[in-house]
Amino acid sequence: MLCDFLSGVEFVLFCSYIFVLLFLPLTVAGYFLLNKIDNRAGRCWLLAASLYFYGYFNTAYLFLLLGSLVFNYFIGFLLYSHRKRWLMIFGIAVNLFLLGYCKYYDFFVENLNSLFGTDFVLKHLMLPLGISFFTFQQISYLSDVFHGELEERYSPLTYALFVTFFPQLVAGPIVLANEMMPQFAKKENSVPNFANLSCGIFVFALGLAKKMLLADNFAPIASALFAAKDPGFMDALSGTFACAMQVYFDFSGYSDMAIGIGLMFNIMLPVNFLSPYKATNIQEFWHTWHITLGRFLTSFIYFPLGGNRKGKIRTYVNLLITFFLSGLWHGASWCFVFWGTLHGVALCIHRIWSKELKLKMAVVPAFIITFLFSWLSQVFAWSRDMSHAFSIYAAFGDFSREKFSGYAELSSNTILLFVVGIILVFFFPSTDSFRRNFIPSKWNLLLAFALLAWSVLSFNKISPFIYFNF
Amino acid sequence: MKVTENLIISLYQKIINRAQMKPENFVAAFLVIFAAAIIFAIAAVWFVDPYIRYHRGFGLKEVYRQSEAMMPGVLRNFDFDTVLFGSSVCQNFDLDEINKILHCRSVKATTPGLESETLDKCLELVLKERKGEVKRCLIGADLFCFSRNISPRWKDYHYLYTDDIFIPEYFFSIDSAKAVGEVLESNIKPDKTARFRMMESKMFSNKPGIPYGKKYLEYGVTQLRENRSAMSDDCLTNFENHLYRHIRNNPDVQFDIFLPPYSIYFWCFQVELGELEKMLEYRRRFAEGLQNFPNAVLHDFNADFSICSNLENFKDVSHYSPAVNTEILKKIHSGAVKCDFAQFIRNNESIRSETQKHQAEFDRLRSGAVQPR
Repeated sequence: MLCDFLSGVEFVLFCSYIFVLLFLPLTVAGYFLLNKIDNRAGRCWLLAASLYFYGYFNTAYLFLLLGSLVFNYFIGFLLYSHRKRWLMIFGIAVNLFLLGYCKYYDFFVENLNSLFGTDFVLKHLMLPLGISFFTFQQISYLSDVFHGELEERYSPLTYALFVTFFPQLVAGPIVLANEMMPQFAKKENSVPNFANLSCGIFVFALGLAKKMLLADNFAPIASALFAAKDPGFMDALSGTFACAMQVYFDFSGYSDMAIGIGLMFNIMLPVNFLSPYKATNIQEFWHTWHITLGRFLTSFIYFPLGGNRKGKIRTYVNLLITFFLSGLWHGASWCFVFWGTLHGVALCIHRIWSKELKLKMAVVPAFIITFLFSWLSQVFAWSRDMSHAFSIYAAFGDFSREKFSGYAELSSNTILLFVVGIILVFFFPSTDSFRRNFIPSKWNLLLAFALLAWSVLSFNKISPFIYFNF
Repeated sequence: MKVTENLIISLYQKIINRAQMKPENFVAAFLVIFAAAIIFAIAAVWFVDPYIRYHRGFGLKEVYRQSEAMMPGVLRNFDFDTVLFGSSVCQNFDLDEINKILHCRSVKATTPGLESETLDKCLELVLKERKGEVKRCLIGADLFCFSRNISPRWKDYHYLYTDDIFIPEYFFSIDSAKAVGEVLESNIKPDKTARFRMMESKMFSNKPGIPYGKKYLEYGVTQLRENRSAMSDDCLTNFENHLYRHIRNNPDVQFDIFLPPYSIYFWCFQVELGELEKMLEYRRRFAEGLQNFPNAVLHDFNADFSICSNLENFKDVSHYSPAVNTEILKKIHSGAVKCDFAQFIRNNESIRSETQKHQAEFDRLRSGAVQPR
């Protein structure tokens, strides 16, 4: 279940006092001050800060990260001189084994036990934070080196920064070596750029506000539904919509914060999220939702399988496989797999509709269908298991309970929250638009300060980012 | 949607992007404002200290807000040698009365729904930080408090229960900002005397005007739905971890544990639920655990039928009127209901027989055969 990880872990979040008031200012200040002395010193400082950030969650997994880093750099080093496919495959296989073991061991064993009646013991491994992200990044690095797309050999320090750069370390975006390493190596980026700093502060404030003031206020409404024993129609409607809003603002907020922090260091992280609920078809949705994951899966799953170059049937099969794996990546449960496959099916249908039948739909119904699908399919991602998901859907048909069952009573504040959410999601430009149109000004300063202050004052109730544990 | 997006962006460019600044001025101004805001927040919260975390007010009277937030502050910073702990049934004790009858200087640490984890936190705090000063702990042991099912009250304000000097959750929160505002407003316009009194002799008490009497109790009986919290063997662990260990580790402190007087209809309700014997057994286990502590005295008001069977004393099955508080204090002082383990077992038997006498009337109220007047 999407919220299963909410229990029991203390960690440094972007939305915590220690991060905003201490870690971030010290890291930024230290980076630029040390760069004045020596470029390498500044980057060492940034690397140390990133490792400290990661190690704060769990020191044991820091060694895992370092081990993975050293291994992949070494394989990459060998690949530069010996461009052997088997070496690349070996490197990728080890990475996938590590990811598979940490993330999917129990899922695999549970299914084995239930299929064959065996009694293998579950290990209940705690998933190392961000393992999917840094594993995928390093797989892309090995591939880039093998295919000659990364001709310049970067130092171990630059490589380490590419993998561990803290804004994107634990929840993406999944960055590519050829888009990040040159930025770390560029000398101009080692001096403070106040235009980037001011824009970074602004974007960070927007992202933090989305998380603290919106996502975290939708969270109790969403959680109440999924904890409810007997929800009615209104509970299902408000609860699932709140889920959709929570995921949107959580992910959008996180992505904005990552980009904002990156800008403070003169590093441009790729945009990962571009108002996906405004999409008018499922393909457009996946071009705007978790953009870097889509990019990775396209390059490393869909294209190697043949993409759309091996006939129609094969194209659809490839799409289904890609999204099956996307679902599996999101979580080690059949609910996630089903959710992913459902999106694969939707993409196939869209392809048939638009490319085979060459039909077009008017914008408004297309948008409504796309949003309804993305909204309602998320129920699988949030549910404990398949039967729980179906019980939520069944609640939609329970008109006998036209009033709230008590789990999601809408106060005037909640209604206001929904209205604000709808306006921001469907009618407001993306944060990227604001970033591109940002100019340092008195009003932007006040807006950034007000959002940041209000968000910091809301830190009392900490909740993790949803994508933190993928 | 594109239309509205473009409109918003063009408005943004026209309005927000006015009064342009140099980027370095933006960054500098931001840092200055942010630093100033941090310093202001720390200074305001520390000076006013609405939850009495660091000190009593500098010329400002304390204003009641949330008892579970203020209990640790009271225990740290008020002047006392006696503490009364308890849940809602103990909320209405008057400190002046306690001081007069028991010849002490007292404070209260009472909050509705007090459960044993919060009790444990408060005991830990006061017995450690006021060691040598606190001589006596009066504990209104509402047995349900020791059940595991109640969510701990202290966790909402966990940061006020720590020893940390710098507490970001206290300095930078909307709740603290509101609290500071309320303290200042109340002190500037001191017409809200009730909230001051709730931090003086009426510390943490209910607001006045709550009616008590048989008709209210009978109405409460008709509305009973379920037990406040199921008792289970988990509570035995809580007896030890949240109470007995403090008694054991503080032999110089006297612990007066009193089981508060529930109305006799409370026990009748336990019969209806089939829980009477279970409750009596947990009472027995509770008393058994206490018997070997020389510094612990048990006062069993559960079996004081001069209070429990007088239905005019109650507003519902467990909450008694302030007048009963006076009687409780006098009896604690005189030892009138003080009991050893053997007496306690006899009290269990008394509860059984007294309950039986009132069961028929209770059942008639519950069935609707008799309407509350």
